[in-house]
Amino acid sequence: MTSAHRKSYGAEGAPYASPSPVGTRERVRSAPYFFLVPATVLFALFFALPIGYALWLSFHKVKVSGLGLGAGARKEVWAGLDNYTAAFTDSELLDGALRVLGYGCIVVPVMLGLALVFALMLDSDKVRLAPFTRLAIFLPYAIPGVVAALLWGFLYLPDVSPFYFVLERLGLPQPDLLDGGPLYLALSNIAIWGGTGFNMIVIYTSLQAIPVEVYEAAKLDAPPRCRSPSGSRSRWWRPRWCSPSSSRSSRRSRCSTSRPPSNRSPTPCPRRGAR
Amino acid sequence: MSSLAVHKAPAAADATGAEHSNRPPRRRLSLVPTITLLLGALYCLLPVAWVVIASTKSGSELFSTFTFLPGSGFTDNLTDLNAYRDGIYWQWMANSALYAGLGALLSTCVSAFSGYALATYRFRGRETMFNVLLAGVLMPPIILAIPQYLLMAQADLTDSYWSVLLPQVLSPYGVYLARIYAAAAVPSDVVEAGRMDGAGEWRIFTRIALPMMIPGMVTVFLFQFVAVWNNFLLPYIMLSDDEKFPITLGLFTLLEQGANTPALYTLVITGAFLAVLPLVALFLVIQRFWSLDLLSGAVKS
Repeated sequence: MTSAHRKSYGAEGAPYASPSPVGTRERVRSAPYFFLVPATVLFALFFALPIGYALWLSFHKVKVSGLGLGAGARKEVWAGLDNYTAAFTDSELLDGALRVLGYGCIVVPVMLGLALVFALMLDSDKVRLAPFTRLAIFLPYAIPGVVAALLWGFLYLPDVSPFYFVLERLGLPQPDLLDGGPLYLALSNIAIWGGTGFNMIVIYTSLQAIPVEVYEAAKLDAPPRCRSPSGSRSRWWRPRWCSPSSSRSSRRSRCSTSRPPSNRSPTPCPRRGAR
Repeated sequence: MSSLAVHKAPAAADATGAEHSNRPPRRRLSLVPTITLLLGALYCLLPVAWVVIASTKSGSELFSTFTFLPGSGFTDNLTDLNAYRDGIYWQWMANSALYAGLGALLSTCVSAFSGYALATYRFRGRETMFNVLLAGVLMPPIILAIPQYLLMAQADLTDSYWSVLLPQVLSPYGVYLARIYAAAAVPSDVVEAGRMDGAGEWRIFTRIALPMMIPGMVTVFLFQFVAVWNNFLLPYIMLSDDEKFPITLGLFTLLEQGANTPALYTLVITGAFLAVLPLVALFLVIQRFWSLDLLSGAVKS
């Protein structure tokens, strides 16, 4: 396609007039499909086909005739919903699902909560050592799950763990982390350790995308001399913490446009300020 | 300099009343987040610090000396690891590098093609295609891995390098990132100008759009590299010949044998330490190039 076109380009020697509009439009119309060929083929082979195959298998079962030897002895026959009833009445599977649910109930809120707290703190410009802590908290993302499990596994062993050492010295009871209820906490801890940093970065970058004007408007909106004659500035910092989500900040920014920052006067504030 | 300012602050605050009312809130707000973040960093670094120190301990020191006391056996551990089954550990390392390096490279190319097409062209079925590709994110890898294994078995491809490499080439998340990045980084005017000048669509992509997309593609590459390097499940299901194992699977088998032979524990720990090093080094070096903004879809032009 390209070479044919280049020929006409050279022959006519008029670069801007050469491409026929119809040909270009045709190419533009078909090009995206060519670009999407690899993704489509891979999706069909490694996503759609396995899903379809799994679905097909779920409605079939293997029927063994005779001793199960020879080419035609094993056949896949239609099983209807038999496999599904077997799965849903299998207490092992249901218990397993419940365990996963319990595990998720611990991991997801704690991990996202921690990630949010860390991200908000990184976003505050009054914090020290931010680059170091950001990198340190993000570091577990680079560590393979197998290695993470191995590391924590050793840290849970009473013989090796520094935590048990400390507990022993303090004369406190030493829980068995590898059995019963605490096992959930032990497992959740590994997932939280590994996932918090990544989520923190995601939230942090979203916070960074909030326009600076929003913060400035929020700051301007609580002029210290207007609120309290003694000049307490603590309120200046508070809006930083609530502005990302609050509608109050937008209301305030509307109000503050009438008053340029350099021209702040100690006149009484005409509206309710931040509390 | 900054620590000096911190020390001086209380004195200044005491000296003048007006200053006094200004200082405390500012300092409180800077201390609480700093301490919280430091605690978080400590929590995240502790296991890493442990493995660094534990890898220096000999087998007897591991269970007898205090956890964070460095041992004396690092070089011995390293020699043992080298000697273990004629250095199969380094074979695992090389396999991981192959799976992750080549896999991430192919994945980045596929993501770049698809992302560019989805971002710059308007064509019938665009949103449907994007949504279908994106739905792949929702599929847990384990649910896909088992039917993938069964299909690979029918094609006689199990226990080969392909069986681990190919299923990881298409990354729905990579396509998503590439689309977002291409939409922000490649202006439609430029593409249109290329067309007016008579360049073919492929030429426009390779010569004009791709250079503009490079920073985003670095992110996609790293993201996929880490994902493949850290993957355990797919190779676990697909491979049986341990010459083809990646490092994660190799360490797992080593640990499994270690349950019977405690002497292998030190090998596992040293191996884990060395397995973490390449990724940590990669992160430290690449941190400044990695446009993390992409992860949340926030792209500034």
